[in-house]
Amino acid sequence: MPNVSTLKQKKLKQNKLSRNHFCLVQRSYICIYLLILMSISWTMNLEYHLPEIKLSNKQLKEVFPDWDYQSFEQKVGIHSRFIAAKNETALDLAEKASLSLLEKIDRNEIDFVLLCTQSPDYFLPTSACILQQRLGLSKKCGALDFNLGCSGYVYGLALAKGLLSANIASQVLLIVAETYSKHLHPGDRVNRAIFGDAAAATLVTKDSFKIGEFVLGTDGNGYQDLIVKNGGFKNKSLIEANDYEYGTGNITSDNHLYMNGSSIYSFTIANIPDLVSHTAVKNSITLDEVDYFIFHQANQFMLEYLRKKIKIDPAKFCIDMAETGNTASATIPIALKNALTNGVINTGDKVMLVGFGVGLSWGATIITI
Amino acid sequence: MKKQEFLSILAVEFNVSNDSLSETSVLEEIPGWDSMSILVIMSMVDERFGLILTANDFVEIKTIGELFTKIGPEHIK
Repeated sequence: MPNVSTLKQKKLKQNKLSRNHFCLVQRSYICIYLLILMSISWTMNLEYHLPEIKLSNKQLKEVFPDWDYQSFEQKVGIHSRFIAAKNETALDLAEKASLSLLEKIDRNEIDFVLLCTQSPDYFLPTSACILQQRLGLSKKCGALDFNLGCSGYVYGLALAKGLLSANIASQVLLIVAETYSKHLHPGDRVNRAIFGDAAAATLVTKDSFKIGEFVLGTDGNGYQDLIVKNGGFKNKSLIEANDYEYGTGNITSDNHLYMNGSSIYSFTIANIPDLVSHTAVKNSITLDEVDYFIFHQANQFMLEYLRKKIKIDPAKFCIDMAETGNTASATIPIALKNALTNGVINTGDKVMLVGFGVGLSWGATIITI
Repeated sequence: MKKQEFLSILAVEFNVSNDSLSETSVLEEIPGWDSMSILVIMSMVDERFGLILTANDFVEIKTIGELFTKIGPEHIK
């Protein structure tokens, strides 16, 4: 028969095993909980939509036989772009991008729609109101458009963060949708080669990705550097607006988009490096601690120069415009989605988003995926 | 920086021979000049001299010599 001391030892051993087992089970539960937390709460809900019509450089070359498209591809880094069909508008693209997103989330929970576009269907009503109806969102949902271009996604995140912080909304559907192709003169070779159409939809909630501090800026002195002069109430669209030539053989008119590329470039290389460093400082982080940088995908030459000037490691710097071109406010979310899908960025990564362009307007923030 | 050195860098950027460029060369007549060329020059000048040229500067700058004048003798001799 075992004596009392042996029984005691056996019991102690059993208790220890039981405690170890409990700890193991507890740890497993914590791990599972964290995994669920990461996979549910921290999933970035972001989708984009491209029109069906793809326009390659070779197709553009048929329209502009003198165009050295290989040199353009090498410098600007754009090989193709997607163009909205004649009857397809930015609102249609916005709807399709949103519908992809709504496959994964409960539409009844959305209580605010922010839509960034410079190609609305109407002067009034605002496209976001029409989108509320098309998507079947709650009538308790707030909705508004805001008119910005290449800085639009960053500004949209800033507005969404404000709405969430003030408890005005809890689930913000942020959409950027643009069809610059409809603003372009058929003879505007350079801009037809640069710009593409697209839309992207992002769900912003307090539990989604973390949105850090913002640095925003504006310089209205450059308003004429990227402009469609006619069509508003200052200058009505003219039936016969005069065509004029600019740059190296490009044709436009005041009814169409005009871009002073060298002015925009000068503004960009003068201001964006400071914007990037100020954004890092405001977020109490060094540039080395940022895992990935996504700038507005304007053109490869510009981005490469900025990257070198700011001294960013090429492995941490996004260049993603070859297939889709410059889609104005949609370039950042398109690049962000592609980087997430391809595993270039992952949960926990700190990503600096930098938008700049028409306005002139700029903004940057750091999101944690 | 010496003018000749800048001309050599410019020749490499535009993929032309060294002796084909001089102070009297007209920028828009450099072979291969296109809508990106002003951006290339803006970048070169910013990178080497910390000087940001504007689009308006290029309304006046027509030749390489005028570009040197704009950059200034304190930078380029």
